[in-house]
Amino acid sequence: MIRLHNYTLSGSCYKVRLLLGFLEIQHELVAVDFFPGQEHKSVEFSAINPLQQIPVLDDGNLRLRDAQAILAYLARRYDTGRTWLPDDPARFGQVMMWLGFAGTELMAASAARLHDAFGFDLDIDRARSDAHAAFAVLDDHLAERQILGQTWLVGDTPTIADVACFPYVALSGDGGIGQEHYPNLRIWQKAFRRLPRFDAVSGVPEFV
Amino acid sequence: MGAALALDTTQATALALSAHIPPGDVHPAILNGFELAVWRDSAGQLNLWEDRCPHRGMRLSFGFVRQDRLTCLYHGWEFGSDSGCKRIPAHPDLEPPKTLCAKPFAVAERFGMVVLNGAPHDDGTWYGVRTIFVPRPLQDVAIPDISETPWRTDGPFMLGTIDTHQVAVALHATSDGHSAIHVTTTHPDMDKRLSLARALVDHRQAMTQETT
Repeated sequence: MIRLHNYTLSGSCYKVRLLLGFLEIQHELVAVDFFPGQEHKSVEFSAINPLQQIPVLDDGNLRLRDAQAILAYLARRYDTGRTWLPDDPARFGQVMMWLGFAGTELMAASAARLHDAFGFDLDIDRARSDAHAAFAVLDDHLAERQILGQTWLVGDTPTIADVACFPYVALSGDGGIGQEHYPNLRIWQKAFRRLPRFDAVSGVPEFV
Repeated sequence: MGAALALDTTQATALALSAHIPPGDVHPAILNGFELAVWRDSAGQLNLWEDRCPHRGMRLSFGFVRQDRLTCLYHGWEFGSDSGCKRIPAHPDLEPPKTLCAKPFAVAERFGMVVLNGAPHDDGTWYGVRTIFVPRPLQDVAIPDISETPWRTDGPFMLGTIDTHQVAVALHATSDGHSAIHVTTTHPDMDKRLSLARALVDHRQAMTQETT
């Protein structure tokens, strides 16, 4: 049985849970007390992931850290339709490009949320302004996609690029980041929330 | 909360692209700091309301549309197109009194845009290009240089030409010194609309750099 070392309110764990749901993969969740317990900083958890980060996925003898790597593995291993991580080299490359974006630039929105919702000590003005810059990049891309009559970041169907980018966009209000300036981003999120087997989380309503 | 803001309803103002408000969706818009909810019922009927639920002040743009009703996300109060509250889930047997209503504003569509206080008009087929936001007060916003002919003014719109097709631009002040630039066109060619959208990104980039 697949085991996900998970904290429910973590956007990075949320993206993995979303894909597990979309692909209908049986799994069990191992609760990590990220807040307030800081269990991810413990000696025991450091043995699971020396980077002291969640999520971590166990599938048999395979242990993976990094939400984006986990998404890519699950899609390659379990998506028999091969749509969530396309084989076509150009689309594969585009998906990887947005995975990289989700793990770096977009994490500014996560930082703002860690500050506001979990009391982390960090430069909140910088986090918010970096998040807005990342959202503008995503909104610009989606504006072009929508002019072309497309809904998703890459190709004709949702991919792990959408899954990787969705959580910290959808949860941005928790970090004091409004979405009034991103109409195309809002339209994309609504489409994502209407996907079959979409799973809501605190801060992302199931009703759309 | 700051001082109560009033909405200027004496003039027409374009607030969003029609294409950005699909049937069955609600979206926020801010005009001079005043928060509005723009929504269409599932049949496509457009509504423009203050973005406040009369119950607890929740932003209605966080809610959702089912058939001809907008539902507040907080306690599920349902409002009809006449802005009246139709159902309160916590009191399912209660017929809500007529005094419980959202605050509606006159709205129409023109040149492919949603217009506060606009007059209904059949303008033919318009395509959405983009809404971009720039960190500039309204009086300092430069009109993007995308028309092949001099702009001509029509109410809140500036109308120009691209390849014998029309292009429309409208502006409004949002909040915190930001402004929105809305662009639509009758140009049927997708690639042309893509290049227009890219020109607007460049325009925003130029205006942002001048500010900082």
